[in-house]
Amino acid sequence: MKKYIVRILFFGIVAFISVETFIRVKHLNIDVPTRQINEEGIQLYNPNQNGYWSNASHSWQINEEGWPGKLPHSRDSLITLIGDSHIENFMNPIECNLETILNEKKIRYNFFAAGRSGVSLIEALEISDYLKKYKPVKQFIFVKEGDLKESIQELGIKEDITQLSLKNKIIINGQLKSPGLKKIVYNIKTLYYYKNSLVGIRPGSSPKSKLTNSKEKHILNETDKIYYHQLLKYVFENYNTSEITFFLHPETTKSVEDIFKNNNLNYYKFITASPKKWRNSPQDESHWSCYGHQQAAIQVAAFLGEKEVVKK
Amino acid sequence: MFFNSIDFAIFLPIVFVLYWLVMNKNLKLQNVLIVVSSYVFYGWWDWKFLTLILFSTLVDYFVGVGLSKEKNQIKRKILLWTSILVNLGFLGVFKYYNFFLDNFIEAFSFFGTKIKGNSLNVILPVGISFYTFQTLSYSIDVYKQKLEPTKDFIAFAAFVTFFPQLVAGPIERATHLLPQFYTKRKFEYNKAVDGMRQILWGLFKKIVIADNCAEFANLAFNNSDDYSGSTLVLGAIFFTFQIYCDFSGYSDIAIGTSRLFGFDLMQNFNFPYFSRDMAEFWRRWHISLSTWFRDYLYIPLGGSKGGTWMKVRNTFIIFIVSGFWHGANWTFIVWGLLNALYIMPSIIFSTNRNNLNIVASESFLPSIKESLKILFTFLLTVLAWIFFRANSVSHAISYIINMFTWNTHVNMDIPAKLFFLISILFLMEWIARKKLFALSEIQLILPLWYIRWVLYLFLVLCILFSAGKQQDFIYFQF
Repeated sequence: MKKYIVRILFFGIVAFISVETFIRVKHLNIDVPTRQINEEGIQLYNPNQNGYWSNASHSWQINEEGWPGKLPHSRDSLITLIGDSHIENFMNPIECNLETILNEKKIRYNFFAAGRSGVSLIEALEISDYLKKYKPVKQFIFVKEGDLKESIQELGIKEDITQLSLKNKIIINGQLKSPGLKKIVYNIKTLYYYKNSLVGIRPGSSPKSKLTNSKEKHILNETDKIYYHQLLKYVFENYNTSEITFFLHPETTKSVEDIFKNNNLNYYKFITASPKKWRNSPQDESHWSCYGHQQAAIQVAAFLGEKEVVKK
Repeated sequence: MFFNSIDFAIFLPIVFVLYWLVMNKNLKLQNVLIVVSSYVFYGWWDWKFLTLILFSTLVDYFVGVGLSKEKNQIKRKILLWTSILVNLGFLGVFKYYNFFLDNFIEAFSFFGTKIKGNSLNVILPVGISFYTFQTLSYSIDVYKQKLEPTKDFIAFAAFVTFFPQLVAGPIERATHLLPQFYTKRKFEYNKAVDGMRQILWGLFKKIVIADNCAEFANLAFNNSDDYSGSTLVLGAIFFTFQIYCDFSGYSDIAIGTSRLFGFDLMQNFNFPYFSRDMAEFWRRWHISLSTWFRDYLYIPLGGSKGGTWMKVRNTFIIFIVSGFWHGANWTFIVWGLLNALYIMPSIIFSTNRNNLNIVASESFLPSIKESLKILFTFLLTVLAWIFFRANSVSHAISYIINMFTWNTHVNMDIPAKLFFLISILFLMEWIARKKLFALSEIQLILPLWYIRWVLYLFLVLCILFSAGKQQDFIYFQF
């Protein structure tokens, strides 16, 4: 019996090492970058990391400032592009990043992307404040409907996301959720690979992963509308919104668009006749495909072609 | 609980440790553990149907006790028929009621009479056909005084519910399995190692071959009008591999798991696709069911004692009943009928026992004649499986017609990896064809342990990284 159990355990260890090696060699997992919270309370990635997307289809990189993608060659006439995972864009090669496409267009601006999965609207605004140190001429925040809901603590507490308590009018910074456990799970590739299958998703095939956490599309009810209105009122009153333009996801509903309009915020809603073509996959409406990013870049460039941002 | 689930991967070691390290001193406790574990195993799927198993267990136990006391032949018959009616009654209600009702309504409407019937909205309890047949074997054997009725209720409940084979067999005979619950089990290293090998091989067959083949077989059968003839041929061949690897894979895991607990279950598959004729195929396919029908139906009907006509009649009965056992659908009945027709020449000309040994028993490769016979038998089974898999008889016929439309272009993307994996299956089973399963006595072929471990690791990696989309075990529905 003892011999049997020892051998089974030994085989288990050898099998585990083999599986771990196989996953690492074949890059079957999405490599997950580590994060930090800096002195200003901004959650960003540890600088100078790189890794692979699932099955090594392409790699991602974190630049020396702690944001995904490439830094612009110059910081003159800088425009910041702030958003969550669809600006982070790990699911596409770096050539498909909005800032890469825009920087290659050789228009008169330089683009600096600050994207990180899980960023709420209020956190995006905090990031915009933080990025003022680069003296940007404009700041663009890319918004999906879910970003509004996630910003409001009264609509659901999310400890790892920066939220606004509308009742108390205070911002609660997101915390790194179980960083120790995450470090273990992300470093033991087998564990991470099978974590997905344990929750009912086949490893490697999931459109949603830690890096692509798609936000739930929700039906806008009257309560949400009131909260959204209060949120954007707070935004207008507490941030210098004259330099900020909110770029709304093409699938944003009219009622949300109206809330931006009614709160005197500068916004631009992406236009497309076929929003599904923008999607990263048919089920993943939160993230854009390379085509979607290219189309978005064309519209951002066209938007900048105007002399001045039109206040709606 | 499915064998190919994380739940089972956690459940099995827990039961194993409790069984050998905590309760190993007490046989009764070990049997209690088996009963409790089996109820958990079954209840994981749907606890409500545990009452059915419990009821069936109680009825057959008390029928057995009654038979041991009763000398009056009429009363003994009544007791036996109580067991038969209760067990077949469950099957009738849950499995066949709606089928008969629909067919009666259709038959009456054919003659212009419209009748209404209330069909039952019930789901089929998993494994009902398996455990009812197993308990029936007990009552019949006790009635025929082939077996001493048990007075140990726990041992009997463990025999009925033994979780490795509860939901999809092998259908054990009481004379073989029940006595194993009376005797003290001793942990045997070699038996346990062999059990693990059989589990590994079963998982490979199920998760890697069956589940991968299922994806393409499903595509072909669900869209048979859209695919070319050659694609449909491939689809039927994929289903042929799917059903073999799905069911024999389950049996391997069941037998292997039983061995971990010191039990021996009967062999259920003996490399059936290496058969040289249909009679041989049926001696090697789902052996526990074929022998059940032989012992409890074919022989009581007169077997082959009454001349050729009786043999023919009984063979047809056996195959039709066997088809019907698989499911309440005409497709299964036609499948059974087709197999009866296949086997008929060998019954009439008494050649059904020509191939009792394994093919190429004295050489590594078969002769050309043997190869052609194997190929022909295989193609006959492929054709029959189409009826088994199709949604209806008309679907099967249209599938076969479409299959024979001349078009060599395969309009389905089938990864080369799948053919490679099937080749591994084929090669390993061929090498081990004289053994109980592909990895049985592997130490004789690969004497160096680390070489064996490389093979095991290769299979583990295939299971983990080449798994097909998870499918239910086909035979669960029966």
